[in-house]
Amino acid sequence: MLYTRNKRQLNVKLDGDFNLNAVRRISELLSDKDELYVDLSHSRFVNSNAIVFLNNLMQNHKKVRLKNPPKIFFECLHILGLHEVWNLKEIVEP
Amino acid sequence: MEAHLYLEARLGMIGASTDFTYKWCVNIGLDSDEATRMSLAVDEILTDVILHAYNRKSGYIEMWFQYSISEIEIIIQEFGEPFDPDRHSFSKEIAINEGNFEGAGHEIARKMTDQFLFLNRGRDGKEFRLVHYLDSSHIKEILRAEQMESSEEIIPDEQYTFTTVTGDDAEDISKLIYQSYDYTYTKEDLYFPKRIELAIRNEYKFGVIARASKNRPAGYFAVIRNSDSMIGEIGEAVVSPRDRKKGLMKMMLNKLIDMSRQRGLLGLYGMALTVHTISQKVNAAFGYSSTALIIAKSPKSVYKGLSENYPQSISVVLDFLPLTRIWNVPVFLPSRYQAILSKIYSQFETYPELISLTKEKPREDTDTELYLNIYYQSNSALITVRRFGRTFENSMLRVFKSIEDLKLSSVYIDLPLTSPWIGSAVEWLKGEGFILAGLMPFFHREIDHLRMQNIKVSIKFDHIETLSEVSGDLKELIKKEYHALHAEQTST
Repeated sequence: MLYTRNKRQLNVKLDGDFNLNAVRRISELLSDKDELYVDLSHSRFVNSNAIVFLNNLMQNHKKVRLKNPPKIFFECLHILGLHEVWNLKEIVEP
Repeated sequence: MEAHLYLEARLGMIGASTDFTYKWCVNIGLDSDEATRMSLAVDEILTDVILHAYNRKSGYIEMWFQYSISEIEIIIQEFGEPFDPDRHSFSKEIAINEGNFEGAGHEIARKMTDQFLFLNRGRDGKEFRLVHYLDSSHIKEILRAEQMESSEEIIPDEQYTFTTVTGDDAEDISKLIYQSYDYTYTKEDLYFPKRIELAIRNEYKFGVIARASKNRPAGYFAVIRNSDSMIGEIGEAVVSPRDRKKGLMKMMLNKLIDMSRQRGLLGLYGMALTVHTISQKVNAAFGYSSTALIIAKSPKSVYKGLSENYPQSISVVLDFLPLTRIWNVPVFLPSRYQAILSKIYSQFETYPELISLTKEKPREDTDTELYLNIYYQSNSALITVRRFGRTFENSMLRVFKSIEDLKLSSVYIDLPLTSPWIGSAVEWLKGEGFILAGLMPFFHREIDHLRMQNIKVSIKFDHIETLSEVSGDLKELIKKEYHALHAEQTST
């Protein structure tokens, strides 16, 4: 996992799936930053722990942006009912 | 192509397991999207198991990866804390309104798979079964697109060539089946060329294709390998109507027997229908001997040539052809079935030493090892006893309990005849509603097994047609046990 961070933002490029291990690493690195940017170009899936983690961040008024999420991610959002709650236009970057 | 993983229950193992799942699925023939769905399902289950069932405690998780012509199944078994998924089901409303995503992982795993089963086997652990059906185009759609060949030119003294089938023959095989049987062939997988191609590529089966002039496919005959023993089912055979009565079937079978010997198989078997005796006659002509009568093996079906729909689940006679003369391991005959088993064995030129069980030996203080196969399409299950142990009865009861909700039509149990404790196991199973099915030669790990069966659908034995003397004897004995059991159940 590659990352850069500044005072406000954590930028992460995952080299595998967005699973619980990745959630834990990101959570440690994020601490009190206001914004999380995750490049998912190399992720096959984003699991439910990761989706719930992102949801909690947004509930706590942190900004989340996701680059190039796999298409299965959108199906998972549907399954969990979050496709109508998340503002995907703002969150997802192609 | 089967695999077995034994994992330490730690988060660090999840990524490696999902990577393996993805690669295994792709190697079997799934596309990237399908393989990803199975990997995500595995990730969700393993994460839940490690977080909640083991909850920072040490332990192990076992995974089995199984392939059959129509589906793949991934079994995840764990021994963590007791858990009832029904009490932790996911609710979108609660998730969105209260931020409580309990059950989300299982919900995603369920949606990523075609079948998702949770089996609680008590002290023998919990199992998650994730199934993906291999999807592909039906031969009818392919034929519609390219219009079926209608050349019916009869060529006298047609010359045939026989070659080993490859994945490239898959579409021709489907066409042969469709043109010969319409929709009535019992093995539905043969209507799907992609499934055939994958099965050949994955060495799940091997076979012979006969071709006439201009490369026209005329016949096909194949052996499906058993996954846990060196035997094969000779279950797929077709000769195009215009090429019948020319000895093609016999020529193909001879080639198949040679190929089976080259591959080290100890025997071949066929599951002959009892809707009529045609398949049993064919098997008898090729030297097979009947060893078991398996009741309600598959659901009701329509058969070409029968004027009326067959009124009940389909039962089959197991016909066996040994390819070896060496039958090394002696077997113990439970006294209840000593006579019929001796008669079955006596059909073969050579057979193992038969030991009468006059006195029960004390059971060894070992664990019981059972293996459960669920056949989703035929709505049945097979429990294979790999080792009798002190917990045999309790372990069995836990398996019965775990599959209770599946409402299966039939449950079969294969007991190793090489164990001297088989007598007590048979008597106990009789008390649990099981009746005889017969001998399954070399069926698991190259060992002879006694099959017993628990039939949960109504069967009229008048509709079951048998041919040989032994299959007739089996039918009479099984019928007697079936009616005695039902009389007993009615009176209680």
